Amino acid sequence: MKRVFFLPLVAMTLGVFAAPAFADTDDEIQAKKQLFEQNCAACHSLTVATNQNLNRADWNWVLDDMEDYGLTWLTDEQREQIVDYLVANHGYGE
Amino acid sequence: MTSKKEGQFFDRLRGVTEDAGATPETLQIFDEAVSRRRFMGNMGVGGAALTLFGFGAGTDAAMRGLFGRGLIPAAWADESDALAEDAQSRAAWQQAGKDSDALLVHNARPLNAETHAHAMADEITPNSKHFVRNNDLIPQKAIDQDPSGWSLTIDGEVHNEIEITLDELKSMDSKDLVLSIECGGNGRANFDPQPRGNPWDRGAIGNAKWTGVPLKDILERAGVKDSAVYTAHYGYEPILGDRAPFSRGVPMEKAMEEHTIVAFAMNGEDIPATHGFPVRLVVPGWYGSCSHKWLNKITLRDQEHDGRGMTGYSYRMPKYPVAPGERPPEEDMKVGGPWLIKSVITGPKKDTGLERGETVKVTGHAWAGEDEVAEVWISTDFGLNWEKADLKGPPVNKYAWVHFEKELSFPNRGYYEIWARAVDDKGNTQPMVQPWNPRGYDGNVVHRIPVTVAA
Ligand code: HEC
Repeated sequence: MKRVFFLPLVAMTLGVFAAPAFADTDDEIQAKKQLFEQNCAACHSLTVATNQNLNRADWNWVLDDMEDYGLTWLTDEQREQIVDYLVANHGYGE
Repeated sequence: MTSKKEGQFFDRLRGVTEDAGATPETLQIFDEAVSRRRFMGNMGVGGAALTLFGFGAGTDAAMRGLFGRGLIPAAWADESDALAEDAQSRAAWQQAGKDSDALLVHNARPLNAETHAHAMADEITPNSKHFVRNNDLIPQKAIDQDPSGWSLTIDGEVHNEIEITLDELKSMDSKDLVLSIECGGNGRANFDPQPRGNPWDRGAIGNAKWTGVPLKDILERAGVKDSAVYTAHYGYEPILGDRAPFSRGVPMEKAMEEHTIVAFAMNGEDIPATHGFPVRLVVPGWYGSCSHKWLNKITLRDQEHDGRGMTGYSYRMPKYPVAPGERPPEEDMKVGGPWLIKSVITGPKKDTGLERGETVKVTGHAWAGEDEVAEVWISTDFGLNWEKADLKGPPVNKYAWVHFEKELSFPNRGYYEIWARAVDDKGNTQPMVQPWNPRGYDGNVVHRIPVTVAA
């Protein structure tokens, strides 16, 4: 019993970069949101991102910097999904 | 946490995961995740994971990072506490005696908070209300108020490299000065479009009394070479992310200015952790990032500094005015530093309801970077007419803000805005519309306080 519980915990803990495995596959937005929340809280509060209001070019600029700061693990596709999420929810357009 | 211990931990965790019937894909994810975690070292989530499974010290903040918001155990998810996600920031907040009603927390990690305009009325900002800006993390030793092992090194373009202990620093001739420190991004929230960075409104400025030794006296002990043109400041703060240490600098002329001090007390007390314990630089009138906290080294250079915060777009301004939203090429940017003429209205509070004919006292402060505040003007009709406010004398010393007051009454009902506009001794004033730049520095648009007058 204990282990059955433990596996998802470990998976959530360490598999944070593999959202598709755990995301609600019915809901793309939810998946993108989860991808954002799981990857962008590793170094700082999510508010650092959620209190911004940027267009796509600027979100991409931010992501370039985050990669320089050590966010090295995102695939191109994951990065794009996170940027989509940010533009839609904390942005003002393309 | 040593990396060896960490390695053992992850090996054990991998074993448990495998035992529990994890698929090869999951194990691959595990391995990848672990290797990606390693760069965070003992400050990061690896250490927190160890704590979680009973391996020793760490913070719930790091655990939050580990799990991501929404995945953390409910016991830690107290959303009413803005700092709940970072135990260290919360400890620093408490250690500084911060007044949560006076401050608006922008981020728990790194800890960033500004003073509400209506909470800024004190002529000398108390520690409890002073804004907090951190690029990186707060050293645990500072939170513990433990100065052991601290010293200040002066090297680079000097005749003799020197190292000064805290006792030596405190035994030098020191001064008490009331000095404003203002984040370069203060006012960013008033830019349109909003540039990236903390959305500071008005309150990323404080005007505390600092006690310290003029940097000039310290540099002269080391003997400044003629080749020295610029400083580079360093501190002992843990760095957030995989970045060079934060390090800004100023031209020698500013470093040698008599109000640039190496401070060891804030409002008569040891400097709180989040303001730089045990020693910080105070470079008044310039972007706050020049006033390095947790200072432990100053290197004199024979050219402009190129540390983190000096290059690219950080703390830099375009060499020419740019259209809102436009990013000029990097080579068209230059180092920012001295602040512009500026003012804040501390009362009445925005959206105050007034009665017809009621008298209301407008209060606030004005400051002027390297210059002097000459006048402050108030308008209640969107800038058509302006009336002069009373300035409360010259500042206690250069770089302290100046207090202003003006009694107003509104004879008619309706919606009004109280605007304040300061003018410096060179005739510079504040703009009515905020000029734009890519990272939102030098924000000094007039402050507007909406009020309504009842019939
Ligand atoms: C490897 C560590 C790391 C990760 C992971 C990370 N960041 Fe950051 N982020 C930083 C650092 C360091 C800063 C700079 C903080 C400062 O100087 O105030 C920063 C600052 C920011 C800022 C603030 C302002 C700016 O313009 O610099 C935004 C927005 C941001 N991050 C968004 C994100 C998003 C979105 C993600 C996820 C895709 C993310 N970060 C993941 C390290 C990281």
